[in-house]
Amino acid sequence: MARASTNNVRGPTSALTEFLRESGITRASVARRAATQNQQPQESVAGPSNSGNIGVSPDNNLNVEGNTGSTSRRARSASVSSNATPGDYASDELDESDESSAPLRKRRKTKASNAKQKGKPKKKEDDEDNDQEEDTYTALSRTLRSQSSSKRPPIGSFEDCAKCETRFTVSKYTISANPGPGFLCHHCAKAAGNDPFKKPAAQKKRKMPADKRQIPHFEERFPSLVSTCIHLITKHIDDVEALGDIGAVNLEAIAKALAKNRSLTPENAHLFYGVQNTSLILYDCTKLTSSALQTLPMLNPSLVTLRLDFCGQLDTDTFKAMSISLPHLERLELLGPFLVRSEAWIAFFKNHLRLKGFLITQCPRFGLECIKSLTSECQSLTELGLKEMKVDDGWLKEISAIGTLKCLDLSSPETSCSEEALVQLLRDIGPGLEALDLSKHESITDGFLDDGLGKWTGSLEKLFLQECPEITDRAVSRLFDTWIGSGHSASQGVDTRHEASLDGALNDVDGPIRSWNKMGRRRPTQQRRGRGRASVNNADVPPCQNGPLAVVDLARNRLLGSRSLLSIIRHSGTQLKSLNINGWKEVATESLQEVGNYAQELKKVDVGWCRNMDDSVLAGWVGINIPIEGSDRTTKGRCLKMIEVKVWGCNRVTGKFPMRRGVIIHGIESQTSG
Amino acid sequence: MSSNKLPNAPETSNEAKDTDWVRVTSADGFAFLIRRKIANVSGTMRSMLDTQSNYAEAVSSTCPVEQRGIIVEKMLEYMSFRAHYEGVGSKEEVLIHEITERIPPEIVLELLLAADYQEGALNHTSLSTIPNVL
Repeated sequence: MARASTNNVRGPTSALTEFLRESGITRASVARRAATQNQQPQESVAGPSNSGNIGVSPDNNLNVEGNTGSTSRRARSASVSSNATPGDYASDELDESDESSAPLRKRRKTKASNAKQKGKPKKKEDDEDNDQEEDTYTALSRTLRSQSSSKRPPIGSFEDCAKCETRFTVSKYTISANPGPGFLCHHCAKAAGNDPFKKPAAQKKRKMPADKRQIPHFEERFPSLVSTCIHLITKHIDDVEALGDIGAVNLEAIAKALAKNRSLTPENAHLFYGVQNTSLILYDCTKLTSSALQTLPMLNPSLVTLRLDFCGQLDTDTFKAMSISLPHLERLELLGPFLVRSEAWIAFFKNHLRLKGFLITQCPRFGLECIKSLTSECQSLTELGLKEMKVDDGWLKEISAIGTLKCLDLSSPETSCSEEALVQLLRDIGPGLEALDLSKHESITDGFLDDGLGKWTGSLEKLFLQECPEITDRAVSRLFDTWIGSGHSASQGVDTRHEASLDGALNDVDGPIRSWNKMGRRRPTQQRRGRGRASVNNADVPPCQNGPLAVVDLARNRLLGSRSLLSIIRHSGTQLKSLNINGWKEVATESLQEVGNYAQELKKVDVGWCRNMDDSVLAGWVGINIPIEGSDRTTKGRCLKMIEVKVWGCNRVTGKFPMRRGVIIHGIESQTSG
Repeated sequence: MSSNKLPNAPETSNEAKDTDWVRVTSADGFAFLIRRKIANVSGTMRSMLDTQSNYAEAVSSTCPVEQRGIIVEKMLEYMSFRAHYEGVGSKEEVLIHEITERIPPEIVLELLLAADYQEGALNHTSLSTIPNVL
């Protein structure tokens, strides 16, 4: 503004701005008008309003902020004369011609008189109400409205009362005289019937259109058949006979149906309870409160196995009660018992010395002292799962004391355990382990495969090593070759000649790979149990053998490829039931075909994001009526037991060929994207 | 519906009309004839009977449901009830108790499993928004 007035450089302006500037209307003049009109409409008559030079000198008498007593007095004295002609101030009409001003003045007068008449009975109305009566034309813009709070002189300054003319201090509650100008002292304000302490009415909220229109959706008004049934079950829950006989299989299906809808409640949970129940699985306990969970052990006193998923409301007291009242419990599986503290776990172990299976997931309050208690109390533990927990090397030392352990799941730890500690763990309990899950232990490298799994296993049937980014193709291949009994010469390290022949086999898939697969697949396993602790130096220990695995899950290890896959199917092919090689991007088409040739027991395969997976491979697994080149006959896929194949991210698979019935193919891109 | 039909194809079979009759059979040999509009309430049945597909169910307009006859009957009852209310305005009251009263508690568990199998309107749950009908 200041710059604009000193030099004449101006940017492009709209036609309206240009017009207003020519008429002498500036921001300053509008602000002044707003300030004066809002306070007392006549106040600014001090400056000649309709003489045509409004706003040319914006700072002349615009003194809104620093409205000291003297200026306000001047304003008031000026307003005395203007009171007689209240319509004189007509900056509104600036953009109108002189001819039209006469009727307009008349109209404003009548309006003012109307307001006066109205004003008499409504004297008590405060300023806010007056604001609302403004017509839209003269109403202030929003920015100016916010400025209008500064119309009052600064708090703490002195002011003469407009009525009784006594001097008073301006405070937060000072209100202007009505009719103005000036301000009222506290006494006069009260006498006039205004409550100075009245809070300004809350600003009107503009209703969002969405709030206004609340049309009940059809779905909300019309429950689905499932929810209707659930409600009926809940209603008749006390009268179990009315619900008819429920078989065990149906009960499982009902439990799943309820869990799927997250509708297992304290009321209908009784459907699954029974004094003779030995096994109970509740798939979603989100809505079971801690008191409902307390009744669970009371109503199912003979439980042997118990699994509760999403049991976030299971707290320390509830769990203590549970540990007292389930004397036969042997296997406990909990997902998400966040609230159970150490003392409750320890009490539980002391009460369940015969515990065989203990699997918990996501429990940050389970600490080292709990593990110590577990290992010392539960001597017959065969199954231990501590998934997504704060596992560390100290825990591993305790776990390695459990000689009976067969299944161990330490996957997805908060921070990975060290490789040495894991190797030491396998030295102690590895030969007895049947299932091992060390997924997401990022510190695992080839050394663990060579010195741990390659030397201290023997009865392993299920192996899960997802997302261990350090392990390499050669090491995995070596491991499975070791387990067969080939690949290593007894106590020497890696046989380089064998590695070279492997490379040759991979380069020329059609030739050597066949002969390669004719090598023995299964040798008698070596019994090594109990030997571990006596051994002095790990490096001297010869590699061990291990029978074929049923489950191999090495997903998301992107360094792994054909070499590993061929070794796996050569070692475990005859027994393999589930194979997960998700994310092995480099694995070759030919080696995937070998899966179909040798792993005929396979039921589930996940080959997601294997780039070379294509229709020919899939047809070789599960296809039917595949024409043989050069003859009229057809053949069919060789994985006759396959029930599920996942091919997410394999964009060369189209699935457009005849397939055996009963096989479910998940994730064919052309089918899912549509 | 007939957009991808061959120009020379006969006009008869490929048209799917809401008023067509389709057959729903139960595991114990009962068969129910219902309008296609009613069958479409279930997403599963709609896919099975989709005339654009080449499924045996679509060709023969017969949709087997592996449940007892009484369960299938109740399910179809619900579906026709629902199809009846499909187009009503928001002002009109849905007399949901009429259907809840017709489901005997003896079969409610089996009915739950049958409904759980079907996709679509039979299986949506928004328990919080269900009016207190019971």
